[in-house]
Amino acid sequence: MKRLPCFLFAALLLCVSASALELPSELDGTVPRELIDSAEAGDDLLLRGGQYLFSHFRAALQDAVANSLRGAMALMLLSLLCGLIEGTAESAGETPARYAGYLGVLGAAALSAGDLSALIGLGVETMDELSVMAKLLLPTIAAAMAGGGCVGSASVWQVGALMLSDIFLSLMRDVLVPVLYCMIGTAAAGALLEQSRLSPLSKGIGKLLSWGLSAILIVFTAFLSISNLLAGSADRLAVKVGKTVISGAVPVVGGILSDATEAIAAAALTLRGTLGVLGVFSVLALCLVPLLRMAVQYLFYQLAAFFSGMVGSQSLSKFLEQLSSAFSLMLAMTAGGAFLLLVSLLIAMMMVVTV
Amino acid sequence: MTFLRSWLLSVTACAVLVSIAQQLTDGGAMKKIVRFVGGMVLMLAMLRPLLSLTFDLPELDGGHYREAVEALKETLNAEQDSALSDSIAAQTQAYIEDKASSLGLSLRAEVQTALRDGVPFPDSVTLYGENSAALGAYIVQELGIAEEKQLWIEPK
Repeated sequence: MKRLPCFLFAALLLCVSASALELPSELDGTVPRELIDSAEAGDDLLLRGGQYLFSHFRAALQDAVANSLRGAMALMLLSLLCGLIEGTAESAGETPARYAGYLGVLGAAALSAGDLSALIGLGVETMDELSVMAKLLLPTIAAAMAGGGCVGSASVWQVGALMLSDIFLSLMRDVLVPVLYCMIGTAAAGALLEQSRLSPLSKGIGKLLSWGLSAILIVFTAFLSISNLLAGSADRLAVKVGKTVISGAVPVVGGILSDATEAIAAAALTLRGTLGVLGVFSVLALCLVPLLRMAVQYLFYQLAAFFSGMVGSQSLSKFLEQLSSAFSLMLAMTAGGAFLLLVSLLIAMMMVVTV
Repeated sequence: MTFLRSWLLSVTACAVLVSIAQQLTDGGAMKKIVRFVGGMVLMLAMLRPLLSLTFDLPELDGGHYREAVEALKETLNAEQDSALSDSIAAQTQAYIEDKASSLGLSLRAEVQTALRDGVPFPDSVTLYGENSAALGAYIVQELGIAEEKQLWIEPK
């Protein structure tokens, strides 16, 4: 797992060209304008892309912390209050002490309802936007791949990547998010009715979601990689046939054909590399804010759960932990969608037809 | 997929109802009976849908995927052939005009290409300028464009 980021970074370094070039107009609106200008000017795209992400990262982090801090503070105050009520209610009898715990969980559910629906909605919206970006970006990259001789691979890659992106979005909407809501509901019921043992069920649902998501991503990545490997063999054959035909032509014509083919292939290779890097940075720029918000929310809820465990009721602490798990699962789903698109782009950038 | 959602909801709802029932009963024999009955109900809610589960998964239809790939392959091939054709025509035109210039002629050439075994070859040429037998012979010899495929349009 640790080798994957290094491998991705190495692939990015190998694929970037420093020369200026003209990019297709379809990228406007999909790729940030700053990055398009840098690519056309021949600037170091990795450096500019990194700077672009970092500048947005700082603003996004500030915004995410500000948004999440209010909610976390409210939960901590609720925990303090619940702890205080539980402590004083114990002297009044068993029933008031029990109901203090219920009030805590219900209050936490009410406070977190807004955060939950906002962030789950944000995750689904991000997946929608990634899907739209894929539909605009992938055909452009496929055309560049085809220019380099990878016609079959480009076709398989574009159709496969778009199909998988649509399937993932449907799965997320129709299965994963409803099961996530089920997990949250079960966690709330388990916190309210401790004897019901619904908390283990909620954790089980969370594990099921996590395994399901991993399985989906593994299957999709394997499909993309293997289908492109198999399509590459037909491309190699086509290039071989083309070279044979060219070598059989009269010398002057053969020279013109060879020069033209190599020029188009070289231009396509450069364009593909640049488009791939632009695509990677565009995906990261799109996902940066939502993922950061979910990650910060997760951390703050963990903090609130820890605080509640120290000073408030245990049932409230466990409920807050379950909620933070829900945020982490939503983060994983959104990151999974982005990962799928990033893997598609890297497969495209690394595709080479050798004869 | 709706099966999973409805199964989880029914198990959750059942567990909540069983818990509430247990909470509402006082201790003693009644609580034990409620716990036993609740357990049976929960077991039924969990297992009955699984026992009647039929694995009627939709068939994996690769036809649509294959059709989409083939259609895209044709489009990309056509685009590539067009781009390569244009490049070859432009280079051949430049070559002919260079040669004409070296022979002291001033003319403009337009080359048309045709596919042979998937590769665009210069097939015919339209030459706007004074007819030159030397240039015509050169085009036949060096570029493989036959005389009958050379169209000369002389200036009026």
